[in-house]
Amino acid sequence: MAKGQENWLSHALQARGWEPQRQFLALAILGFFIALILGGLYLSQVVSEATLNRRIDALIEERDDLERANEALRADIARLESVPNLQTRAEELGFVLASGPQIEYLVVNGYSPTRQDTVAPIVAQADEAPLYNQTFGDWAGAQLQAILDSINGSSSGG
Amino acid sequence: MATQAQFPNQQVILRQRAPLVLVGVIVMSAVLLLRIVSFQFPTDPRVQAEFQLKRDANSGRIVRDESPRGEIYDRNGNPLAVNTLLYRIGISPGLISNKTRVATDLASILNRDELEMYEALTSGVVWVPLGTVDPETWYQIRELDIFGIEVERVQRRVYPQGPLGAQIIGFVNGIGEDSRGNYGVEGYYQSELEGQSRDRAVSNIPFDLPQDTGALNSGATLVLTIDRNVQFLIEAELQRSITETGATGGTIIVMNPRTGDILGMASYPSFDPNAYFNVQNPRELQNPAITDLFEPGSIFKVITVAAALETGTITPNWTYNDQGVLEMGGIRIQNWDRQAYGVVDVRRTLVESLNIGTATMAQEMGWELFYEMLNRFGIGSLTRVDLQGEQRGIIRTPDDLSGQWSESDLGTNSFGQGLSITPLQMLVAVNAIANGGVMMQPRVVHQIVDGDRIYESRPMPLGTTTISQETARIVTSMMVDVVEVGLDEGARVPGYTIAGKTGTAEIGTPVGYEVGAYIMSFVGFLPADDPQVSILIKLDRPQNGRWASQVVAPIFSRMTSRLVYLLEIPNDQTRLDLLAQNSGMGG
Repeated sequence: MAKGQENWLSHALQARGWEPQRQFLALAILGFFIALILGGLYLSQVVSEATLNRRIDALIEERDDLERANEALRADIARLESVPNLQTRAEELGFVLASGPQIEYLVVNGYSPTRQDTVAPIVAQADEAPLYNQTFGDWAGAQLQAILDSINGSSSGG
Repeated sequence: MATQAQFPNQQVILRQRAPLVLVGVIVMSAVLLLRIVSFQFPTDPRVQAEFQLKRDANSGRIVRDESPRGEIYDRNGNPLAVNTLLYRIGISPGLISNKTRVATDLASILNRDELEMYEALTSGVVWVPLGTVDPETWYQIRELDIFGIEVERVQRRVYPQGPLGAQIIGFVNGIGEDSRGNYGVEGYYQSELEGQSRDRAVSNIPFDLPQDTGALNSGATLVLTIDRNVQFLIEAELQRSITETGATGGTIIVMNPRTGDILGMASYPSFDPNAYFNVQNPRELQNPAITDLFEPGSIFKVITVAAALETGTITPNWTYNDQGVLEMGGIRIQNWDRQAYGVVDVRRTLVESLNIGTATMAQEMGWELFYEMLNRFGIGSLTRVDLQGEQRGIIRTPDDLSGQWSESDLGTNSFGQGLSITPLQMLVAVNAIANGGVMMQPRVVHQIVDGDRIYESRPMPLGTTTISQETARIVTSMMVDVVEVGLDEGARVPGYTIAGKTGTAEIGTPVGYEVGAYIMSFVGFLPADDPQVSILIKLDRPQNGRWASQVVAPIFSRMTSRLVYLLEIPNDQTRLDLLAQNSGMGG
């Protein structure tokens, strides 16, 4: 038993060349740095995505608010343009209701007094969906430009 | 001693049992592990749903998206019904750390009792609804940045013109997805107007891309035949007439007899659709122009005369001997003034509004022809107007299984008593005379705009030709005489030729007729030779006169004097000048 322990100890303490251990250490450090870079890239990407999502959320909310404001404004305009309001405003401005003798009919060439069916003009809605036509080259160029801009910005700021 | 003796035995027992316990624990762990793994494979849908619910509760929430209800416009594009947004908010008390401060802040913004709010937040419930608030209130709450507040946008119907056209438009009760149109076009076109709604999962995980699934299709937009200015005019005139005459109610309808377009339709009392919930009597929410039945009285005589001429029972030269009393089916029919008029022709029958004259015509026609013609005029039938709640009317005929008809009904029906119709039915029947014998289906909606598609409602004749063009022309000329030289001269409008007829009808009750109470009405159209607008005015129980010619005819004149300007109907002289010019150009 004691002999066995001695063999194990001497085996552990016996001299060895350092070369292979240095190679291993260098590889480990390299691997660590690569992992660090990849981790950094991943975290950077995730943060960028989360920030972008926040921004999209904010834009959606802003769009909804603007839509609501539009609806409210349309209702307000309609209320302000109601007949009683218009009549009151016209009277304030000095207008009076026209009566028989005050009305003069003019004969206009080609105009038929027979009232045609009239409706509000239907405004065609434009297709608001943006067209996505960015190529990979465009995207890479834009990224590079953004990096250069940020570098220029920070150097000029410094 | 005993303890020392037992100790070795316990160790032995422990050594013996430990493996068993260990094996048991391993087996149970393995079973649990397998069970957990088994959830990764397809399993019972209920179990899956439960897990999804638990998963989503932590990582996201469900938001209900709702598209707006279709809007309503008048014929000139003025909005009559639009939408605004409200915010339905609620809070999860379990997610709030400082309940006292949140209760104080929310109570302050929502004008609620602070203690009540605090009790709600600490009551242990998982969800506390805070109600539906306007955008400004929601923005104040949003500024507080309280974690646990949930918000949902809901649509609210708004009627920017207030009470204008309320009985035509109807109203929407409820907000959000629970809303529903009632009465008028809101009720009739509920399925076209209602928007869509859908549930959308929103993730709380910041790395999940926000889902903007695009706007839902809103409900279809309705473009009405109603002219907002005409509607305002007739509502104002009706209100003024009610005040001046002391009437308890009334109706005014303005139509284009050629197309069946209803340009305006007003009844009193009315309501504000923005505050329909303040109406005490639900009957006030209905549209009396299509739901309330009345005995039309003498305005119905134009139908009898047209029917008699059309069936060939009489000719324009027909005469009868008016002795002041006519026995029919056991009752005595008399004229309005209880006078005898001697030998009277058709024209004078209408001009003098003689009950005995029309009863004689009906008698000569016989019940089969008379009721067949009333049927052709749509009396007792739905006009099929696109409004909710239309009534058919009540008319007894010999064919009725009830057996309540008697010969006296033939006589009284001929001058508009003993039968009940709606004001719209009456005007639509007279429109047949104005439109050269063709009765048009009344309509309120001109266009339905559903996204890119536009559905246009075309003028539709109701059945076959009601009367011939010649009969229509003769009756029109008689109706012109009624206004020009007859009792209804108060209805004249300077510069315009009016065809019309007044009616003063007794009000029927289950036990006879009310004493001293009348329904007074006027029906007419203009210009008589080229009708562009037809009008019916009805007042219930006016107090300032005995006859419609005294009470309603002047109201017609006053209102029509303004109506012709709104509808750009030139006076006869200008119109003839235009016609001469156009025919000259054509030549």
